[in-house]
Amino acid sequence: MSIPDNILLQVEKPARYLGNELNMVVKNPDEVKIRFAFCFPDAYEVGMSHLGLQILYYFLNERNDTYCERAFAPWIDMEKIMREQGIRLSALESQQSLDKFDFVGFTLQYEMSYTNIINMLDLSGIPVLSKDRRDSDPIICAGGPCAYNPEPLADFIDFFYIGEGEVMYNDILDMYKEHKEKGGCREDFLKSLMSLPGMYVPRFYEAHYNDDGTLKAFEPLLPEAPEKIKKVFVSDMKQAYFPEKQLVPLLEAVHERVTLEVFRGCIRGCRFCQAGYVYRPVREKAHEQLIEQAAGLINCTGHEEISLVSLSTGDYREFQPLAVGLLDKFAGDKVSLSLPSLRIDAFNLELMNRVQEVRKSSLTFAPEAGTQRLRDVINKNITEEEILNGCHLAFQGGWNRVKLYFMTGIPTEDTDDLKGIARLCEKIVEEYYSVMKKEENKEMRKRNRPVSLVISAACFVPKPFTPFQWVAQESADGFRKRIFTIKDSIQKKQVRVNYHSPEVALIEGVIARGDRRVGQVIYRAWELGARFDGWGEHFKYELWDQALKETDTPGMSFYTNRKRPVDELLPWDHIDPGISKAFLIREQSKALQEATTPNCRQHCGGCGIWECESYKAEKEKCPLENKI
Amino acid sequence: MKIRYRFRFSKLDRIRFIGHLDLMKLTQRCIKMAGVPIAYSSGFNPHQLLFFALPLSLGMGSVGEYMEMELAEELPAENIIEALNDKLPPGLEILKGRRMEQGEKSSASLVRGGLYKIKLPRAVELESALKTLMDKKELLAADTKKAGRTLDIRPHIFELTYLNENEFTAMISSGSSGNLKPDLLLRALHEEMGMEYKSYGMSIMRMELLQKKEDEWITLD
Repeated sequence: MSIPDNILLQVEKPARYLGNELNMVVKNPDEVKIRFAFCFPDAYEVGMSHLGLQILYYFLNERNDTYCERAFAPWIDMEKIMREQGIRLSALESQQSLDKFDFVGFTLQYEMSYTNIINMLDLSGIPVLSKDRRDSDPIICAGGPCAYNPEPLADFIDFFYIGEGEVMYNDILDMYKEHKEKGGCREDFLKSLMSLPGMYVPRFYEAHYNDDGTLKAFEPLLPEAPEKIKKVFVSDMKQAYFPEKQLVPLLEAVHERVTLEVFRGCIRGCRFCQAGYVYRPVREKAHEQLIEQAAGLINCTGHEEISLVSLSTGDYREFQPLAVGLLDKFAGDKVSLSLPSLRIDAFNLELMNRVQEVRKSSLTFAPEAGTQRLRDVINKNITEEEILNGCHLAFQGGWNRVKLYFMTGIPTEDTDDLKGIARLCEKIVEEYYSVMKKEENKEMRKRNRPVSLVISAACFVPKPFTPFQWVAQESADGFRKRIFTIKDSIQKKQVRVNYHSPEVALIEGVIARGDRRVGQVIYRAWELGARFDGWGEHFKYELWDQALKETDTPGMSFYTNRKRPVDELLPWDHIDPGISKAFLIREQSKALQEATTPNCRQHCGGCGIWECESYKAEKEKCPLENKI
Repeated sequence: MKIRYRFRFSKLDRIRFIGHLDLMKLTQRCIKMAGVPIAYSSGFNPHQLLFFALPLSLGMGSVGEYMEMELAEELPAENIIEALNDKLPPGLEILKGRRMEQGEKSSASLVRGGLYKIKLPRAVELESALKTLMDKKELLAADTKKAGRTLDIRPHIFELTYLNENEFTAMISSGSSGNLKPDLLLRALHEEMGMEYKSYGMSIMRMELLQKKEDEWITLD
C-alpha cells in the first residue's frame, strides 16, 4: 500500500518514501518469479549514496525472472505513524510490503545500523528471529563488510553472503527458482545453499563456551555445512558487471555524483583497517573502460560531479591517464571531478588546480597518529615530511583549509603520541605563514582568510581480520582522557578539534568482535527503543548499557577491554576472507616492534590471498620460499 | 540578444512531495539529460540560467506553474517540451511554452495572484463561513515570520468561491510584492468555523498564477 498523502504531509522529508526516481526499474511484480528487496538499514539519503546498492540493484534486475526493489529504514517520525496506524514497511518500487517478497537482503555497512535491521523486519511483519519464520516468510539474507563477523546477527539472518555480490547471486536465484517450483521448504533450500561457495547458514552451526565466557568450540551440525566459509570475489574487474545506469534520488542525498570504482582491494595494509585486508587482492579496472562508463552515467543521471572511489585511489596505476582523460572529456560539460585524499605531489597539485578552479575545497590528510613511531605501529606509511610538503604546495596554490583525521586509543599510544598531533598542527600553521611571507604571495595574503585546520579524533575500534583483532580496546574514561590530552595540547587558535563519542566506539566494539550471544544485546536494545545508533542525536548509551546488563553475556569489558591470546578460538574463525591467521599474527608482533610492512607492490607480505598478482610475482622471483 | 523561453508545467501526484530546491535540482538534471542547450551564468561557479516563477509549497499540486530558461541557441519550443517531457518523472509535465519577447518581464516579477482549489477533509458549513470572511474589513492572522506579531490578511484575499460543502477556490495575492500562503487563509477559515485546523488534512491545488493588466487578471502563458 502506498503511504497516504495525509501521512506524507506529517513527516520530515516525505520524498524518502516516494520511489519513482530517475532510472528506477519498473516491472510488474506479478510477472516475475523472484522478488528481492534490497534493504539499506539507514535513512534513504544515506543508502542512496551507496555504490554497492547501485550495482546490485541493476545486476539483479538484469534477470527477467527477478524484480529487485529497495527499502530503507523509515525515519523516527514515520515509524511512529506506521506503528500507530498498522502500516507495514514497503519497498519503494511496488509500494508493497516486504513480507510478500521471496528475499529480503540487508547490506551490513556498519555495526551501528543493526537495530534498524531488526526494526525493518518487525515493521514488515516478518518474524525477527530466524527460528520463528515459516515457509511463507521471505528468506532473510545479509552481506557487506560487516558480514565478515556474522555472529552478532546469526539469530536474525537466514543466510550470510561472504564476499562480493556479483559472483554468486545468479546461482542463488537459479537454485531458489528450481526449489520453489518443486515446492521445497525453506529449511531444504537453506541446506542446499551450502553447496555454493561463500554461503553461511548460521542455524546449521552451534557455538559452545568455556566457563570464562570464551568460545570453546564452533561446530557444524550437518555434514553439508562447511567448516570454513571462503569469501567469493570477482577475479577480473575488467570483466565485472557494471551498471549503465545509476538511480538518482529525489531529495538531496549525502553524495550526489557519479561514482566510479577504479579498483577493489588495497596495497597498503594499514593495520587498523578491516577493508584493507578483507577486500584483497587488488583488482584494477582499465582507465579507458572507466572513462566510457563515466560518460554513460553522466548522460543518464545529469550529475555534475564524478568521484573516484576506492580504498586508496592514488595507488591506481592508471591514475594519471584516467584523471586527465576524464578532465579532457568533460571539460566543456560543466562536470567536475572530485579527487579523494591523495598523496600530494606536483602532478596532483596541477590536477587539483584543474578540477577545482576557484572553490578551493579543503585538503584532507589521514595521518591517523601524531608521531612517526605510532604511524609505524599502525603501518600508516605517510611521513610528516610528506604532509608538510603537500601542505606547502597546496598553500602555494591558494588552499588554506586542511582537514586531518586521527584515531586515538591505538595500541601503545602514549602521551607523547597524543601531543604529537598538536606539534604537527603547529608545524602546518607555521608552514602556512612561511609560504604567505614570500613576496610573490603578497596578494594572496591579503585575499585569503586565515588558515584553518580541522582535526577529527576517532576512537579506535579493533576489528576482526586485522592484526589488532586480539588487542584490548580503550575504556570510555581512557578515551576521554586521551581526547582531553589532545585538546589541551593544541594551543593554536587556527585549529579546531572534533571528536567522536567514546560510548559509540565501545558499543561498536562489542558488536564488531561479538559472538552469537551479542545478538540478544542488539535485540534487547532495539526493544528498549534503540534506532539509528549511528546518528549522534539518536544514540542512547543508557539503552545499550541496560541491554548489556539484562542479557546473558559476559558483559561489555569481556568484548572490549580484554586482550585475547592469539590461540583463542575467535567467533569469526569459521569465516575465511583469504588472509591467513599466521600473517595477522606476524603483523601484530611487527606492530608492537614498531616495524612497518612495505606495500604489496614493493614487497609481498605473504598474506595468503588467492589469485593475487603481487604474490604471483613474488613467488616467481623466489619459488622456494613459502611464506604462507 | 537573449533567447529566453517560458514554460507552463504541472506538478501532480506523488512528485508534489518534493520541495522547491529538490524540484529545481531535478529539473536541472532533466534539462541536462534531455540535451537542451541551456545557457550558463558566467563566473567562477557557473549555473544554469533557469528560473521559477514562484515556489510551490511541499505537498501542494499544481497545473499552473511556470519556469523560464535562457538557451544558448534558438529552438522551436515544441522540441524543448518534447525532449524535457521525455526525461521528467511521472507527475511533472511541461504543458505549453513559447519563446519570450526581447525585454519581456520575467514571470517571477509579474505574478500578483494565485488561484487555488482547496478541498477540506469533510463537508462543513463552508458557504456561510466564506461569506463572513469576505465581509470582514480586517482579518488578523499570526505572522509566521515574526513570532508574536499579527498582520491583516484581508487585503490579500481577492475572491473566495464556494464550490460545494468541502471545496472552494481562493484568489489570493501571490508573488514578490505580496504573498499570502493558503495555510494562513485556511487557519483563519477554521477559526471562523470554530474548528480545529490540521494542515495535513487539506488537499490544495494551484490552478493558476496570474498577472494584473489594467485591472484584469490574466495568465502568464
